Amino acid sequence: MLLSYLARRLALAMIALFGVVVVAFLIAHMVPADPLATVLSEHATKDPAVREAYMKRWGLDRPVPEQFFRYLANVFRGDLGESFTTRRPVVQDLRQFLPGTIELATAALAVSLVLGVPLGIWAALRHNSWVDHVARVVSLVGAASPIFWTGLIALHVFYYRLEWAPGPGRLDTHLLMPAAVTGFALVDTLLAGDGERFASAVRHTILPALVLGWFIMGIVSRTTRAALLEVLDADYVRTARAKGLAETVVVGVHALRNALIPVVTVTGLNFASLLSGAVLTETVFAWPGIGRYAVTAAVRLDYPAILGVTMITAVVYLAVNFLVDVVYGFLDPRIRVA
Amino acid sequence: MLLTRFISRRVALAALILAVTGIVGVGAVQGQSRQETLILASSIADYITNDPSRTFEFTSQIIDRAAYDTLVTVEPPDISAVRPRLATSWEISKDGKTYTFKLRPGVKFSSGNPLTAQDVRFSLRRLKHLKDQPSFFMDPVKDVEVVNDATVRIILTDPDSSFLAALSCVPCGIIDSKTVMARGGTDAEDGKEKDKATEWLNQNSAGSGPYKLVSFVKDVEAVLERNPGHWGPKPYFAKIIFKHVTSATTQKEMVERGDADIARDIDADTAATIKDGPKIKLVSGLSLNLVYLGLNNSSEVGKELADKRVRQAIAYAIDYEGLIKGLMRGGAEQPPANIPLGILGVDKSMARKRDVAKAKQLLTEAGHPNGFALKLNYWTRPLQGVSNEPLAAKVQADLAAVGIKATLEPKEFSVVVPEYRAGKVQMIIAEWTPDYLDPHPWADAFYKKGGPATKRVFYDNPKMNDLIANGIRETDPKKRGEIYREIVKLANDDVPWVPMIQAKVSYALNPGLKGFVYHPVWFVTLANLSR
Repeated sequence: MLLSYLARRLALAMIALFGVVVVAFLIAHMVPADPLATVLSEHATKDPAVREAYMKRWGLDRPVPEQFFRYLANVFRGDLGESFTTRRPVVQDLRQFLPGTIELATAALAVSLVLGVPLGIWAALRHNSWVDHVARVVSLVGAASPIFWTGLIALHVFYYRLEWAPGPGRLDTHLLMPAAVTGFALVDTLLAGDGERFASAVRHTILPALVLGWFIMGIVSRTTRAALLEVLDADYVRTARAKGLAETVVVGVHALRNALIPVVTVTGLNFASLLSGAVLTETVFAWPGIGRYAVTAAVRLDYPAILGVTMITAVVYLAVNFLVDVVYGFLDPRIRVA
Repeated sequence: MLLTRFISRRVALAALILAVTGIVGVGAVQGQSRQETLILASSIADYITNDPSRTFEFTSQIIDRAAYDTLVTVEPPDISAVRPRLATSWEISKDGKTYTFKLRPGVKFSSGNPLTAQDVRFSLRRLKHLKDQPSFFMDPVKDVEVVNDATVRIILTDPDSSFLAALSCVPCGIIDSKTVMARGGTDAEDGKEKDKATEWLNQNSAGSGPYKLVSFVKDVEAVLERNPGHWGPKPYFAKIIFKHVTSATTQKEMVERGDADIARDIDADTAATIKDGPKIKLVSGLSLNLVYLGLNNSSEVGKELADKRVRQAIAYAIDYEGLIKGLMRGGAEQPPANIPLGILGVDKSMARKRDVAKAKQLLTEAGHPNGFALKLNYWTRPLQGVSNEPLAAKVQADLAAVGIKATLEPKEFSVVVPEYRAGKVQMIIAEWTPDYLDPHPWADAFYKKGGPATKRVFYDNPKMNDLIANGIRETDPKKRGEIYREIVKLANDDVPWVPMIQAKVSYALNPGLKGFVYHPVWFVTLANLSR
């Protein structure tokens, strides 16, 4: 029963992924623009031989349907083609830039949960008091502010004015990135056994994670508050209180457990906004992640990079949703059948 | 109540932990190593390759300039004088086709290999046969001959007075043939297919320059270290780090905090917020980057613009002073032609002044007393630090003042550039960056029949073609200067282009940095910097 549920979800995910590839490929190739115009200089276009060499190198001289099937065949072999802008295999680019974004998104997710859930609980327990209002304002400002703006302001205040936080980048400027083993700066500095660089990597993570985490913290805290308020009215909570249980146990164990189910779902669904938010955070904080790679790719109409990023984003998104579905299925057996 | 207090305590604790881990240890240990390390906060996103024979991007030119020596060089302030570098002297044959260079004795590459005429031959032939972006530098070259270890002879197909200036450019850097061949490099004619050395050259360098490249991580950082075997004076900085930072505000703040010594991408708005003080200094230099209007001269696409008088009217209609002082906040000059100021044969006095009455008169003479309508194309990303939207709106308003109704046609760069290159746009706002420091590349690109830009607007004047041919044959700099003055004058009469803006570029520096002189092609000669 559970296995067939998992298999069904997985099959759906694969179909969705194929759809993403098809749509992304078509959109990228339907645009009436010439990617080589942005990639090659004025002088390279002077000599048609240079242009032809690049057309051939990237297979752009073939008809679009053929390009598509070649691309698909290569994808199955794990080859996502060569980026026009970096002139490197897209797989290599993604391997370099994806870990940075995952580090940032995970840290931001942790921030949003660690701060958002208690804030939501607090607001629920004291609903309509000043605490609730403050929590609401904090959440709303975070969710409503454009992230490049909060990022710039945070950097200006904490780095430039107060000199509390370290500057932009993954490490202090005089430190160099360790040799890439996993690609995750926090892990690689540890593996290199370099305390100074590890501490630097940790410090550099905090401010961007707070900025990005704040962005979705509002959703987490508002969902927690609403769910908890609903649950606190439920019969079993009244029963628990009637049994004379301590308030901490009633809220912390009986009520919160049920209230957190929608929080899990909402968090999963918001992972996409976390990824798109990471694009802007990365720009402001000079963070070597996939967001900036994606922006450059889009501006330059770098088909292989655009498709690679789209695909990897889809995979991450589908994986997170798949996980949420699975967790949900475990928590609430009724969903498995639906 | 107990719970709320419990939770609020936890919130406070969480906040405290974050704050402490974030704050402690900031302003970390930066001793002697920081003193001898130069840090540039800069976007390095333009990177494609560090292989000098393939690169034509800004960042890699700065890096390769430090890692590779060229035969000759050009250094500000006088950017029209070619000076010795690896070549201590040279002779040009009477017919202008044979260049013989004497090489500096005792020069070694960072590998320890001696630099000989063989390396020069290899480097220039490799550049030619890779058929990549900068291969055009070798277009005039017929052959490179090794006379002996210390003498090399370059033979041109036709005389080319701009060739020496071209040799000063980064793609003509001399590479260590032994090292590069060991990494799969070749100078053979099928180099386009066979050469495999680029991947290695992206991460390392094989030159004789004052620095060597030790690592490059795309969109993260680039690291150069002093080349201990360099023949010239020992540079002050032991290490140079480029940190990839895109936001101008952030770059500026990094300089003020001492985390960077140079902020390279300071736009006009950020420059306006910088006040010189003990922590930061704003410097600017006149670039050779042009922003101009392209006017299609063909009757099919250009329509009304095919008439010279209409093109002249447009040139008279533009409010140049308003562009320079208003839009650019004074951070620009008005170039007299699509050959920028600072280049041989060009001076400020030749620039056109706005004259609305004259523009209207010319339009009437051309049979458009009530003006006419046209389409003004431009791309939506900024060009050379100039925001396109207000620039296009300003041009539209200036044209309206003489009765020309311009419809704005903003498009994506990747959409409009192919149209422009195919000669399909009536009027466009576009940009040009320098190739090398001689008037010929501009004259060739914009005014010679069939030139890369000329063909897009179908400009063709036999008299102009002759002047350009004379300019490239003439070897006497004084006579050459006269020829290019003639070219500028004729260009201003024919008006295939309306030159509008030659932007100044701004940088923020640590005031303790010495020796900074802006270079219009490779930004700054890094080896000249010190504290």
